[in-house]
Amino acid sequence: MVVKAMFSGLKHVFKRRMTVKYPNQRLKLTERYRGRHIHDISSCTSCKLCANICPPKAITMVLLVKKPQNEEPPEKPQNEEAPKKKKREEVHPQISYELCIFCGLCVDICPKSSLTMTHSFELSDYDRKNLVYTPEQLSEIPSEEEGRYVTVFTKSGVSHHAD
Amino acid sequence: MYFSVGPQHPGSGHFRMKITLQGDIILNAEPDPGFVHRSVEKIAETREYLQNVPLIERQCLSDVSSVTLAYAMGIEELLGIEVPPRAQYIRVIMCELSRIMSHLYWLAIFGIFLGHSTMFMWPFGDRDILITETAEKIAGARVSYSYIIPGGVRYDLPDGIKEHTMKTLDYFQGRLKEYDAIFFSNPIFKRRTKGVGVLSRSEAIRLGVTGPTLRGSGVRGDIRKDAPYAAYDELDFEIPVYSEGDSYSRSLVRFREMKISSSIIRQAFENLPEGDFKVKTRKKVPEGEVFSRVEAARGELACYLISDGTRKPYRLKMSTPSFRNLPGFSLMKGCMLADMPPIYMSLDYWPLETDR
Amino acid sequence: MNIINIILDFLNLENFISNIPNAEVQELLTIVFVFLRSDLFFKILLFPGIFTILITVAELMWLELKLIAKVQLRVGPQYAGRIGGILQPIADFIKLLFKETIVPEKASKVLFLLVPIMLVTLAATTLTVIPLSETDVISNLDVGLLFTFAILAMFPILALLAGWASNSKFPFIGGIRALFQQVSYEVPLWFSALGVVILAESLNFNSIIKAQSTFWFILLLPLGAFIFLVAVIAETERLPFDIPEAETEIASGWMAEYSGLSFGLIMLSLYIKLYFGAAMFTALFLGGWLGPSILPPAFWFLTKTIIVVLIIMMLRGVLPRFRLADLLYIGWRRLLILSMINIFLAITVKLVLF
Repeated sequence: MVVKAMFSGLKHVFKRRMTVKYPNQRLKLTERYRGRHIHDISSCTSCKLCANICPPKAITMVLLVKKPQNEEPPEKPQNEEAPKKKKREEVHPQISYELCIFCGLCVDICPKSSLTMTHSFELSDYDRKNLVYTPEQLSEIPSEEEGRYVTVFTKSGVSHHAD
Repeated sequence: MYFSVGPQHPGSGHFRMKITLQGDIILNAEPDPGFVHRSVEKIAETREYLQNVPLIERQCLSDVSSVTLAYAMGIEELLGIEVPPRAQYIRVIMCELSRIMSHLYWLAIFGIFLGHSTMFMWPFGDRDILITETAEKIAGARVSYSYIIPGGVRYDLPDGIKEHTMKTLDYFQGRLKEYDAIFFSNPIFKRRTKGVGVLSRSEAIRLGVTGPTLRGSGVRGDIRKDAPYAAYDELDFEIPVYSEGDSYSRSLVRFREMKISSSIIRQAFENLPEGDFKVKTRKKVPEGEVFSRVEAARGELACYLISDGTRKPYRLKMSTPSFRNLPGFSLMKGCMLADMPPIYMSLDYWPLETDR
Repeated sequence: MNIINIILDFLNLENFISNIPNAEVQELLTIVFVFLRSDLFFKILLFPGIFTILITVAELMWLELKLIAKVQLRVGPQYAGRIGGILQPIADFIKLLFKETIVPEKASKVLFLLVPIMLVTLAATTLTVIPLSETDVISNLDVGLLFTFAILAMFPILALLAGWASNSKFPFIGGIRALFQQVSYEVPLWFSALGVVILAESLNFNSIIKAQSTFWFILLLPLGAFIFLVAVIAETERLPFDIPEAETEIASGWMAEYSGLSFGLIMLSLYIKLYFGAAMFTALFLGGWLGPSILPPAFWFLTKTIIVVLIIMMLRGVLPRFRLADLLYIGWRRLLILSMINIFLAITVKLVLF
């Protein structure tokens, strides 16, 4: 019995290792992985559904920082055909990553699909104020990290991490 | 001599036991839970029904799908809607996967408590493979994925998941044979757990324990067969029951449950029907009380929900299996100090679940 | 060829000595330098003395970390040293030098700090009689085997002292358990070595090894070899006989209150004891430095010792821990009876073959 256990242990010395040598190697994540958000400013309609559904209240709606423009904004027409609707204020989501639990409910509920989630999860910083991402920061696409991407499954079947 | 195997001890997890020793014999072992209390039930009264799903799944972190399933079943009964059959089968698949993952976690911690460090590394590695394959591909996150919501499931299964799961399950069968060779047939393991912490059949029924603790003492009790839910009545599986009632039979019950869960997943993938995976729900739930129960990895998990007609629940109470198994600590009276880890681990006590 | 001779010639200290006016001091220093140039000092310091022991023990620590990691499907140390983390134990020891040695307030300070030093000294002293080849031995005592067992008898007392001097509950329990374990496994150890002494008719290590030139003793006395191996694992407190260090029950036993350099010395003494146990097994049962003369005899001795150490470490990876009651049961009832049967077998083999 003990000898059987020893042989079983000895077999494992010659198998491939299971460790991913981070940060030289990284694990390849699947498509649906929920990481940092990306916000598409042009398709957002300021409906505030994402802020209402967020469980820890991590999303707040703020105005965009206006860039100084030379041209004047276009004028509103004097007579309108339809009855006047109250114009919605143009606010965009600002996400605080101290509170966000990466549940993805805001992505599911957005009617225009302007919030999506990427694979980026290394968000730590030295200062707490930098963890609050404004809408402009959210619209930048994160770059891919360096390192060799490994995966669990090889082509021939399931094995440990391909090293 | 009195000492406490306290919360900050490499031998107990986040849990305190007050032990009175005389020489090497334990006179009294009293559990003292409450170190990790986070008042989940009170917070749940301040949020809406859909926002509660990530909250309550974090209270019982090793088998996530069972907790959300109990909650979702309660709400669907109050709303009076019926979930489509494809969603029922997907729910069965996720429940069985989280059962396997919880049992692998148990196996790892059992190994390290007995001093077997190899048995600590292997199940965690295999658990990583299962999590990467299923939870990430299907649901999007690795551990707490909030996949089962009132009304069905959140997304549909992706393409190519069936072949992937079959390959993983074949690999998993080979791993179970290795575990058997190195751990369950080990003479030292058998010597340490046979005859230790015997719970007789009448005593088990009187104390009210659930789960594998109950099935290891000869009582045939499983909610999947007694009050079936979510497509379990259409699947064919057996329940392992051993009659000796010591730590060894409790461990064997969990080991066989892992094999049975693999066969359930295979059957569910064969018979998967087409259709919707979600139905639309209302935000306001009508008044009423409901009581729903599921079979989690550790035993019976029950959810009692009172609603008063608004968007937020009036009272949510969850009765977790680890809390029900607390009277099992009286088995430690009269044992040696070295028998404490096998008994403690064969009850499969999870402090996060008890304290909520 | 002596390196120490070359260094002393380079420094040219005799010239310096002859310039000292005082005649008695000059005589004394001359005697000291004669000793420094002698063969004995070379053996004590370099080979097979302190330097060899330290390097071998450091590499044994590395071997254990790597082997256990490979069984568990991980990578062991990989960053210290260019190839595969070979310098990892040395890096660990240097790190421990920089840590603070905390002495508990109510502990007896002298005993607390004296125990690690005595452990290392005694463990290294036992290695002075084991030969690496026919001439590479520090002292070729005629009662070498008896000498090693006399020193082995000191270790249980030191473990108890370490636990008692810490003045705290968990080390106290651990110290008493260590005492029980080490005392109960000394008797089977000595009895199975007696079987070898009956076959070889001498207590000198070199004679025992030379008596194995036809057959190794493991082929003649397999039962004795098995008992000796089990008793060595129990004496050095390795898994599965790991009770005094049981992490999950009593939080690392009698070593719990030690930190810094004292802890480093205790770990060093544990591994020196392991090396000593494997070296004794090789010398008594596997034929010591005997082997084909293509390669030097010291090489054969080290190879056999490393194979024995590998077997002991492999057992650590695959077996859980015993209970204390089971341990004492095995030591006093099973192994004692088997070792007495072994003595009768040894007498029979001696009468038949020799």
